[in-house]
Amino acid sequence: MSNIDLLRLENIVRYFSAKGAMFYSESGVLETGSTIHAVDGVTLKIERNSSLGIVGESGCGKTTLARTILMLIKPTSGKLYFEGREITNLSYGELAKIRPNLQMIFQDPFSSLDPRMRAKAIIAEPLRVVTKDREKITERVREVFEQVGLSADQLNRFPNEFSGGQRQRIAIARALATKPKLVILDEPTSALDASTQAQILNLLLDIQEQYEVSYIFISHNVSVVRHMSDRIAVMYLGKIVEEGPVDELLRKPKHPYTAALISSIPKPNPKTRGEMVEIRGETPSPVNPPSGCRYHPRCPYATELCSKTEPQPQEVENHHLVACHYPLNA
Amino acid sequence: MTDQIIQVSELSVVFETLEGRYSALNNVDITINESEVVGLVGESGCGKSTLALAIMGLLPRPPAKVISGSIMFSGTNLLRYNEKQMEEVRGTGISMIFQEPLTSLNPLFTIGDQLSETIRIKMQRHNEHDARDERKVRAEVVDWLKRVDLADPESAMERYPHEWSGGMRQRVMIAMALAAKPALMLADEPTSALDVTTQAQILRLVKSLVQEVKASVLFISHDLAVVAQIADRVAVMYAGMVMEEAPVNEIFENPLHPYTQSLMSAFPKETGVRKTRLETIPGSVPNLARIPTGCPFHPRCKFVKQQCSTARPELRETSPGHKVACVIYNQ
Repeated sequence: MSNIDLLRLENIVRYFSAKGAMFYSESGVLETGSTIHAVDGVTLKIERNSSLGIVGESGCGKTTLARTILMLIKPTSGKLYFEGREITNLSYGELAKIRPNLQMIFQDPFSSLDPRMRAKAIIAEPLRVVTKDREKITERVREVFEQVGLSADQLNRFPNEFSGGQRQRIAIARALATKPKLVILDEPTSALDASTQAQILNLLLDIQEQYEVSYIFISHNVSVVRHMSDRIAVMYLGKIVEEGPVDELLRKPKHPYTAALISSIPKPNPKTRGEMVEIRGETPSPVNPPSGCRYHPRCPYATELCSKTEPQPQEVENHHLVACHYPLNA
Repeated sequence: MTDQIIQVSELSVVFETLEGRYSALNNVDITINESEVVGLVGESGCGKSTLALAIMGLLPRPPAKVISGSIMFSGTNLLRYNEKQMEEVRGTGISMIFQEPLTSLNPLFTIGDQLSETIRIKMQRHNEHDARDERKVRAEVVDWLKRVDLADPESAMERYPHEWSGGMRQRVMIAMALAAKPALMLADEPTSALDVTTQAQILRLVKSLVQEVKASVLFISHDLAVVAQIADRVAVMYAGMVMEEAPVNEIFENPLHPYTQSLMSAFPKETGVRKTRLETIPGSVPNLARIPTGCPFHPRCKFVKQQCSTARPELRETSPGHKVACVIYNQ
């Protein structure tokens, strides 16, 4: 049992039809009724008690991927396995039995908590799916509430009586209530201040150590992802262009996009000025992604091959995959 | 001695609301010299934006009320100006860019319309007699769109703000803020809503254009890393007070105030050991209606001394250019 991956994604694709919506393609032509290629063939696995970071710019499909993993939206094609069992085609009722194992924490704790519910009701809600035993629920609510660093006398308060950091603690408590095996964190600290961010990150690390939960940590902040993860996957326009162990991937990126992304992160050291390398141009629209390698129009190393043939992920080093015809540092 | 562009002295601003009196700025002193980029950092609610709005004369009054201080800009106190006089300063004297460019641009007018308004006003104020010469205005609009690296400026002019990405809109905002050649530009979190890759582009653009038009900048950000990349001098604010101020290299190498030190160690380090616990500041940012007495940071400070809760420390120079408001350094 233990050698089966917690979660496995096989060529997950999610398209959205944009009927009636209007987009400007790269050449500035208005297009209607097209397909948005939000997630376009993602293969990944998540091991038990580990953290996978997903980084990429806005619009690259990170959040759609997260929602698909939770089966909040059905993949257009591809297969999703949870503990070795395919869950892609399960009925609603069957899925409900698995759902307590998969939880999510959102970016904005001001919109992810119902303002009309008391803290205890917010945390009890997912538990009511699992059990009808009221006493058990009350007990568990109290337990997780204290685990996330809140005091029991605040249980009856409404979300507006808490600060941003405290609200995110409530969201974490709600996610942990059902003792999940996987928690997806979608930009969990982007809405928080620096000092609060550090508190929440520490809490998440404590929880992982104690409960052996796996995290998928989605963020555009690479230094936060590095701190929290074991492996990193880099997404660009619906595809994973590179995936590998955190330190190796960040120190020796193989994909030109990863390299550019890393070098555009400002460092808190004035002596590194002028070292930022920028990527020219804008991310192309996911309605009409470029042919071949999706990064080729912006890539300084692109050749004709890149514009024609799409590179497949290849293992370049131990467990380090890259989808590029001409990987760097090879 | 370099020329001072703006000198804010002992500025205190309160917001009087039904729920109470919020003290947003408390005896703030800040000077910006010619062609200098001053970074202003602090967590949300520390008064960064209030300071920028006060300089621009854009504080909502009421509830805001300036209770003391002065803002000296080219020889006059801006706080004495009436709305009409202030109007003359905005744009050509001091301009501002905001975090979310979509809300700062008018959705009903094209980019070209909005940029040409700025350019026409500049031409009028500088008595360039061709303010009504549409061809000259248009040529300057195209020129500015080129300078902010927008491809195909001729067709870009005809587009509306919603047709553009966040990065492109921020480029237009920068063009609008600098086209009238102001002496000072206030930038309030201009890259916080952007992706890192776009942020890198915008930071470089701001740096090079500011040098070109010789403007000074007050660059407000909650991100120390961004400030490290762009500022010449950095001021750290907490609960409406400037806690520390120093040249950029100095403040990152030798942060003196306990708050600055904590703020720096709260960010995950690039080279640090993964999954180690980060240093945190206990408690949270104080409510501005109930700022602690004495040093506002004392309830969260690990070096707190007895006098910290009673006497408010003054901003004092400890070495040339390095000022800190903390009793530890008063001896």
